[in-house]
Order: sequence, then structure tokens, then C-alpha cells
Amino acid sequence: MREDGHIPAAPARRAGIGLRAPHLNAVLGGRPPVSFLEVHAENHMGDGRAFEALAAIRRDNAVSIHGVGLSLGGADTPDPVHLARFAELVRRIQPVLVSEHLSWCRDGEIYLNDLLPIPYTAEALDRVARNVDIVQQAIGRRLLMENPSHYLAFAEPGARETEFLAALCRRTGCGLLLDVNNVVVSAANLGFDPYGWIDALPVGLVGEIHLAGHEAEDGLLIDTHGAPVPPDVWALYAHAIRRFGPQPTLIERDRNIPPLDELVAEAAAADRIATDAGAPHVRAA
Amino acid sequence: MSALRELQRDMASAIRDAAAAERLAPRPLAALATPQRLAIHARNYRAGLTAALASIFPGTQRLTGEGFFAFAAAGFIAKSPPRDPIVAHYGDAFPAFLAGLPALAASRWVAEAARLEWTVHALGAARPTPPCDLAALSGASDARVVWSPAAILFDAPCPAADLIDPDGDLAALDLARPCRLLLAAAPDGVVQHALSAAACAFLQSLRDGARLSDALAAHPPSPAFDPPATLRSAARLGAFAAITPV
Repeated sequence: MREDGHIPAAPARRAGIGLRAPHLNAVLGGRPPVSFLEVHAENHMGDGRAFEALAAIRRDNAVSIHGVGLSLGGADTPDPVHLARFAELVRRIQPVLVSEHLSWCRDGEIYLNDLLPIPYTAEALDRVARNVDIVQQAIGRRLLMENPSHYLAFAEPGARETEFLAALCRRTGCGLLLDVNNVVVSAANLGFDPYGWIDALPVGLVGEIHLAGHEAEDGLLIDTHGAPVPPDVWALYAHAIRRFGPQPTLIERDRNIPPLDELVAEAAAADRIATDAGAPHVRAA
Repeated sequence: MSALRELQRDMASAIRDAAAAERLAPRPLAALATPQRLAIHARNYRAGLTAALASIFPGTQRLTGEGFFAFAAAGFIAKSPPRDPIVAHYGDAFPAFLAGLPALAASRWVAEAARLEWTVHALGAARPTPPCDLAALSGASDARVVWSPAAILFDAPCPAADLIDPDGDLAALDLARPCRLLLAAAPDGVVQHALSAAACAFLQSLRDGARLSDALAAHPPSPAFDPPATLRSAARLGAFAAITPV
């Protein structure tokens, strides 16, 4: 929110970048030429310096908040203490988008610091829908849920991921954060067609797209967020844009973080692909 | 127990403990739950937390070497897994864990260096307290201070600040030389202000609620301790949230 009380509108359906600590001062010193900046909620909670920095950035930039610790795929309901911190951050920053993951990370009192997959069973759908409802009530707005990267395929038969995501959206009113890199990684590791996965996802649910890099290791793809967006992810992104239309799109990098200019250049490349993919109209900011 | 909860307990055990992963292997946890694939999540868990500890304790890592630090971090992660999803909150018990390692029994200064790094890390997230006006003392017969949550007195039996200095010369250090600091959050980081033993004890008295007169009586001026100068420095650095005449 700017000092005059103006709340920036939702981000244009163009590309932004993930904001991480190495670029914090650069962004505080001048607005980068991207549509929006996305931060991990857990890096800016509380009332300290990290929150102050984010609030300062919010005055001049559209900000998206991406949670990693609510464990919405967990059997338990969200930790009320952490949910309260999350909701308070959303209330104070008034982000243009709020998102979390279709995964779990909490086992009782212990947090596993990873985005762990769930089986797509009826019980899991009930639990995730309950948890998403709890979060949406706490923040008073729509949540976007991100498809995770998969290395394991569960033994218990369940729905296809696209069916599960669509059902979750129907039951809760949440939207989808489509992580194209995660689709590429999961498709390679579990042996399905990533283009078919995109085509099976109903139109009208996607509210944001993530793009990132991965690395190959021992015959598997690992979702590292440690490399530039590779050609196979760009190609699937173009396919997704053709199906879902232009969406706010994020360039994510969490390791081997390059200079800010390189991330901005990747965001510009995403905008070009969105335009070339036949977008009839790119809404202005 | 629900099927989802049971599955997640099994997965959590396998991720946290390789031996548990072996025990669980015969169970149909997942169709593609080969050890290699479960190990990706186990590695993500340990590598992420080890990297978080290394970012908070870079000086400690320099002192121990990367190999020993990774060994110690693995032991700590196994013993004290995170109980908060905010990774920056993880590691407050790491210095005490290091102090209890038999391999470091003859090198207690490593744990003290880690304790200083955690203190600096924790203060680095705090909002600085503005300098306090000592004018409240003028005309007052006595006073107490309200200690700022953004300031900490650090007292160690070894030169902890020099030990974590990346440019320091470890070979030249007297490891028996104590380190006493007033640490305070500042707009651009954390300020470290060196204190004499008497000045540190004086400020500890004030922090713990003593009246100014009592603290002065217990810690009289000396060539190494100038009480007005100590008060001015502490007030300037934001150690006092307020001064209350009594």
C-alpha cells in the first residue's frame, strides 16, 4: 500500500520475480521493471526488520505472498500460531496474490522443511479442503494452491492430480498456482505426458504460474530452483498460456541466485512467450 | 488412525531416520518408494536445515571446518528437529548442542563463538530501539532503566568476537581472554560495543532491575570503568527503552 492509501491492483497478467535476500537492498533502492514481486511468507513474518523491508517494498510494488509452512496437505489442521502469523502478514501487506502448496511438512510438532507429496485419495481431499477452508476464512480471501513436484508414486490408488486439483477448487473456491516446472519434473519422474496433464486441467482455475529450473540426477529430475528456466519448461509454459490465457507468471530461483538483471531478463522472456503464444490481449498494469 | 496420518507418520520417520526407512521398506508406502526416491526428501530435509545453520553460524563453520560442521549439524538435526516452519528460528539450541559434543570438550570456545553468532542473528531480525535521552536522569534522585528487547549483554570466557571475525588471526588469539559485549540492533545490522568487566556487571545490574544508585554502589568507578560514559554509550546504542525516575 502506498502512503496515500492506494492499494495496487492485481498484477498484470505478466511476469514477476521471486524476491530473495540477496536482492532486497537493490529492490529497496529502486523499483525493478517487473509486474510483481513474490516473497515467501515465512521470511517476513513478525514485527521485525524483515517485515519492515517488505512493507517498504510494498509501497511501490505489487507483492505476492507465497506460504511454504502451513502444511495444508497434512492430516492435522494448520498450526493456529503459524496461521495467525500468516493471516497477520496478509492483512498488513495486502498482497495481490496469496498462495500455498498442495503438500505437507508437519508431523505433530515437527516440521520437515520440505514440500512433501500426498496421495490423491478421498480422505486426503477431505483434509486438504478442510485446511484450505480454514486458511481462506483466516485471511478473508481466495488462496491459490500449487501443484508439487513428485518423486514418489503412492501405492494406494487415488485420483489423478488434475482431477484432485479441480475437485479441491470446486469444494473450496480456491484457485490454482500452476507450477510448470513441477509438472515437467513430476512427468519425468512418474512417467506421464506433461502436455496431457495441462490439457486435463479445467480452464478457469489457474490464477498464477510459476517457472523455475531443475537438475537431472541419477535418472530423475530434481526440483532445485537452482538454474535458469530450461527449454522444456518454456515450451510447456507456452502450451499452458495457449490453454489458460496469460496469467501472472513468476520466475523462481532459490539457489545459485543470479544478479537481479538476469531474473528480470527471464521475466521479460516469459512476457514475450505469453505474447507469442497468441495472447489476444495483455492487460495493462 | 486415519490412513493419511499413518502414511505421513511413516514418511516422516523415513525422512528423519535412515534406519526407520529400512524398517519401513517392506511396507507398501509407495509404488515408487525406492530408497533412492525417499532419499531425495530426506536429503532435502537435512540439506536445507544444514544450509540454514551454516548461514546463521558461518564463523563457527570456519572454526570447525565444513566437514565437522556438517557432522555436528546432522547430529543436531536428528536430536532437535524444527518445531517452527520459520527456518530463521531454527538453531537457538545449536550452541548448547556443540558445547555437549565430546569432540569439542577441549574446545569450548567453539560453542561460545556459536552462541555469539546466534545472538547476533536473533538481534539482526529485531527492530532497533531509538537512542534514549539521559535528560530523564537530571534532577531525579534515582532511576531504573527499562532494558530494550533489541539489546543483549554478551559475556563469554573466550574472545568470541575475534573467533568469528572472518579476517581474524586465530593463531594470535589468547583463548583465555574474556569477551564482554553490548549488542544492539541498529538500522544497518547489529552493533557490537566492547565492555570492561565492571561496565558489563554494572549494565547487567541495571538490566536486571536494580536502581541506578544500587548499581553504582555495587560497581564503583575505576580506571577501567567510567559509569557516565557507559550510560551514555548504552543509551546511544538503544540499550534502554526508557529511563524511569524513582
